[in-house]
Amino acid sequence: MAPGDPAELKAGVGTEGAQRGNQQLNEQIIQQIRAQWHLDKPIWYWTVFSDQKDSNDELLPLTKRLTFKWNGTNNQYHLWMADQLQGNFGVSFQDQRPVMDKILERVPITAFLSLISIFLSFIIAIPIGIYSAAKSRENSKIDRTVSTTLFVLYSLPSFWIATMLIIFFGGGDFLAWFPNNGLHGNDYPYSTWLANTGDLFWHLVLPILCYTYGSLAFLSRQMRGSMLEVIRQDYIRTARAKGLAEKVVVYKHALRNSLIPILTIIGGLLPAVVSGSIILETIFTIPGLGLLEFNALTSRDYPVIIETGLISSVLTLVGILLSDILYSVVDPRIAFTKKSA
Amino acid sequence: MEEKNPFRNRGQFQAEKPSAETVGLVDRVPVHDEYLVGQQTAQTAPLPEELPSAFETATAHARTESRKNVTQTFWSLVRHQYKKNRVAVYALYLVYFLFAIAILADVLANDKPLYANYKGTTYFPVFKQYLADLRISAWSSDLVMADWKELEQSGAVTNAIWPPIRYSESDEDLANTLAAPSSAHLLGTDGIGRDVLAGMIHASRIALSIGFVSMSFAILIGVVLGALAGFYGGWVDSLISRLIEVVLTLPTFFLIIAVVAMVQQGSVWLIMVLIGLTSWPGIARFTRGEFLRIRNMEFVTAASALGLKNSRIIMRHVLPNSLAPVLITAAFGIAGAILIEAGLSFLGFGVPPTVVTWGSVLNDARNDIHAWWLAVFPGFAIFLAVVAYNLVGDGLRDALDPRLRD
Repeated sequence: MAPGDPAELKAGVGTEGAQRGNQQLNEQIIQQIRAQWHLDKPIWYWTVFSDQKDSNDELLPLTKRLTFKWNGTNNQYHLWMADQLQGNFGVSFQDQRPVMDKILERVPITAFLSLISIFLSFIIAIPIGIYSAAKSRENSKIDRTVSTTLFVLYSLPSFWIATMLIIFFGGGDFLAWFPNNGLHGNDYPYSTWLANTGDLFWHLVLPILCYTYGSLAFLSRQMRGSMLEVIRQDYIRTARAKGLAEKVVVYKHALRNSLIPILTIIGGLLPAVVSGSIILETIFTIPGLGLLEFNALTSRDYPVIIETGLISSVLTLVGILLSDILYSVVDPRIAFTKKSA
Repeated sequence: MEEKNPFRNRGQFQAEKPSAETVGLVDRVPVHDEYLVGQQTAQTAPLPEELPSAFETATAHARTESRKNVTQTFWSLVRHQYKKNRVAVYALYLVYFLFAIAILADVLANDKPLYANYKGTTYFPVFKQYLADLRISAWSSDLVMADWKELEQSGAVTNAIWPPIRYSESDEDLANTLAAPSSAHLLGTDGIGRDVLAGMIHASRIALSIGFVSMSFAILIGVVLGALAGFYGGWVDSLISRLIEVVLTLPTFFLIIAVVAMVQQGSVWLIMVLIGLTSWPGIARFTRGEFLRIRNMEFVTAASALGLKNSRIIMRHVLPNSLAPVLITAAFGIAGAILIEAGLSFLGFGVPPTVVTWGSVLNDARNDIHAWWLAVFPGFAIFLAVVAYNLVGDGLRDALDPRLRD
């Protein structure tokens, strides 16, 4: 991890060149960079603990630094907020590029991966859930096996599985079936469009596997639970009593209602679609938003860190809103307007 | 129906014996008595004209008598229900097992013998180290930095009894760096020759304590805020509910990484506090819901009609009845906390690099694709801990769910 503050990093403190160079000049440059990025200003409207240092250049204990100072509007938060409201999202400390550009060019990659994995997990999870719930009546052994497997799958840490897959299938001492990082092979610029697409999906096998199995297990459990809930209800008993085939009962009568809770989960997936997974993208070196976040964190690129965090928070809010709205769309019993009593 | 559903009825039993409340016996009614299930032999209230002393002995006698007849309290019912789920019971044993390893870590893996004879004196070096750490005792100058293995080879130490694993977590075997599992190092060594098994045994302490401490922290915040919101309602409720929603929207893992990465020196405590600070909203929501449900029950109305202070009603009457869902959330939360910590050290954030954790060993595996033992074993340990706590949480949820009871 990088030490010091971003300005020191930028000026290269700790590197060989900086040590040989003019110390005083270097210090001046650091101060300039700090002023340019507002890092020399207080963080918040008021200061409770000053950063007074003792003779050894170490911070005094907290009790001795307790002060109360009003900083006015000339603080980092106020300046940042003013910029945000004007649509000015800042530039990256690392390469001076606008933060929004850096984020927007990463979004499609992460979204592509997430959408594939969400699609796959829904497609597989719903039949598993229906099957397991249907079997729970006639053959509880199958249901129990499926449930336990799903539970174990759900508890497997994805970063462990990813590391294991790379070691055992990604060209370690064992099998070398799949490439273990990136999205493209070395001959990407020289190949045809078709070969490149094939190559892309070949690169995606391991990451997609890791992205998918967890949500697959989660969704299957949800599906099974809501199916069981619905199957217990009276109208299902009525359907059976009037002699409908079990298939019709399950697929026509039960399925539609049991999908309600599943549909609302889609809203909650929105932040995942965009912000992706820091750990998995780092392991597989996929140049998505997660890797951008990771690199920003290790190099203390404050504007990028703040903006990505902000985006995922906003998306979580939108996701919650979306699932609430979806809920009332698919289930007419739930209404947002107050019922007259 | 009534007997089958202690969830709904717990409170009413108390409401049925207001006699104790009226005569100021409130403090003496043990919490467990509120859970008496299937025991409807509510003592008939002695007449108030009776002498207080005679009254007290009478009720005390009646209570001990009735307790003998009680077959099931609420928690014994839950325990009974929990035991029906075999997988959950095994998961609980697994949790005990992990705790045993964590507590006995120094005895299981140590570079000092458990018992040794050195220059005619008997030593219990592992235990003496505890005393030395506590500054009760001190090593003699020739043994402070002693390498006991060398001493044994040179013959200075005799009759040594060693722990099963003869390495401590920081013991570097420089002749065997990145060694595959063998009889010398059962699970291999890492890049600087530290024994993986010894490291994992000692790291279980970090993993389990992170889970426990961070969840205790989260429960403390969550229960206090949830209780206030649910009990008082009104603007207190709106304020706390908005706070819950704000914290819920924070991207937890990203936030924790960001803070840990910004702080110059990470520590295990910082991670515990951060996980606690971000994972309380779930607990607060459940507690709030339970409080909302319970505060409208008759026994709470009775308690407040008796003039009890709000603090007393909350602490003695509502809170004990609303802890069940908190328990479930906490079990899942511990699994989540272990996972977050492992993820953090896997990415190289968090604990200082000298500290070995399950995640940090797994991180070493990323640097060398050939060292499969660095990936398989610590990852499996993380998985075991996570699955154990998840299964316990699942079992608890089923045991506490009155619908599944037969």
